[in-house]
Amino acid sequence: MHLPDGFLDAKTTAVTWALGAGGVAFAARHASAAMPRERVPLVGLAAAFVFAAQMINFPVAGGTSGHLLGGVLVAALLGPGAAVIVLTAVLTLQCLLFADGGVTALGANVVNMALVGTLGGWAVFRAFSAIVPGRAGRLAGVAVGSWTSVVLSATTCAGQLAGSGTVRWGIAFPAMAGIHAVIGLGEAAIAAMVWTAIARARPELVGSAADSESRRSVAPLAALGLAVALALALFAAPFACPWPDGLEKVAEILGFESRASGALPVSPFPDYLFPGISSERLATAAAGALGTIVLFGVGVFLAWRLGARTSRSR
Amino acid sequence: MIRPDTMARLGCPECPPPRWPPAPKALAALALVITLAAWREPPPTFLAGTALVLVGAAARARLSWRFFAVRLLVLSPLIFSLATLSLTAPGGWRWGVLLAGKSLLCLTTALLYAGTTPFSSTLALLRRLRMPSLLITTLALAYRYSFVLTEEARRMEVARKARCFTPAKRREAAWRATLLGRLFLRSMDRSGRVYAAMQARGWR
Repeated sequence: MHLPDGFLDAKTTAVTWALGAGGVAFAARHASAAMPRERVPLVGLAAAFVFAAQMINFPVAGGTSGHLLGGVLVAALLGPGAAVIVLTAVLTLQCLLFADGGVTALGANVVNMALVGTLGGWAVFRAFSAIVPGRAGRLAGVAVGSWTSVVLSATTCAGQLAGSGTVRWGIAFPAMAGIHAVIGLGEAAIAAMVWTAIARARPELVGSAADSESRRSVAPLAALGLAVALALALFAAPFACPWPDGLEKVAEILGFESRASGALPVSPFPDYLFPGISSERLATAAAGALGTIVLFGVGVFLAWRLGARTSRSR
Repeated sequence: MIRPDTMARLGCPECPPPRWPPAPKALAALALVITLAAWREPPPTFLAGTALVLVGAAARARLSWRFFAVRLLVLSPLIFSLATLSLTAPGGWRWGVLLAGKSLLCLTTALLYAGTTPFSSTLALLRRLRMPSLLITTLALAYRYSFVLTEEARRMEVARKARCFTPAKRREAAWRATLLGRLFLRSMDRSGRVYAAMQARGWR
């Protein structure tokens, strides 16, 4: 996912460099203020660890192999500010020493992987740690957060390519997000296994700090989750694949498609289209956004009711 | 991802480009990469001329052809994949070929710079550009210890084989994850010693 030089236009390059430099400067200030001086070498060693870890290949099905990317794993172990610095250092080293990732695209690569991917994945990790207490919640958080970080990075990368006019969004998004949704599964499995190995050897490294932080309010994380879900519904849903899904295809092959009774008489958004909007893409985006909000409300209500019942039974 | 052992200096350190001061060299390389990246449709003569200049500089530096071949072979598939995706853009195949050409020239420029400049010079340059000190320290330590940790991981794997501990195929991934977990813990332990050494040398 390391963007090379030449694929981003001048405005996207300038914007991503500004965002990347601002984000890294903020993370450096935050990490420097929050971190005792004796932990500074640990950040450097963690960057070296990520670098070395990427040399260790894990067998994947069909004779292929993959390696750890490590952003969310480092964020879960050292905190988000340090993780941004670690990933930025790794990307800069890869760019300046190995030309892996372009010099002009370094800003975009930092935004995609060190900022959006790492912080987005870390937010998911924190949400899981807060909702599901104990080691299981943190393990699930590392796995789902790692998957999310890979897909988020790929999605922003596709957005930059489309914004530069290099590739159409309708091609870039499904290609990048689709491939990286599969790659993300490998990253989730590897990060979860490494986290488990560390937790077994040194439980104190992954326990108390995360537990005390998980007691904080989950409202900001819930708001972030809703924002990400809404963004996906608004920008990704209109580009959903128009091909029939599995059941529709089977119905088509077996010839019982015509017996389908169609939408419910009271269906508010037949075929995922918001009534009253002429543009099909806008109608799909509006229906997706409203559906997301309704489901979020149902989820919050269920969590509130179940949470109240659990508290009473204690 | 290129392994560190493949980036061993293959050129001649006394030959012209490594002797050139790093700041003007970095500026020239950056200017060329920015020009290539920002110029939407440069004429083919400009691209051909740039390629000739780069080949000339690589020859003057006596960089081995393998130095470029290995890296271009590893890094160009991504360039060609993105160029293939860009065939769907309005410019069609000409646009895809142009993008691939520009990107390969930028990659060659970056390789030429990396192959003829010690990383310590690049770090000094970044420090003069007022990059955050935490990031500079992290970069320096990452550069110093990435090779140490890569070697350590290799030694751990050799030690496992020497003890005749051969995990079943299905346990291979879990074993490698354990290796990485141990490597992270060793890095943590090492960071304490590194901090003491840095303090002893007057690090502030």
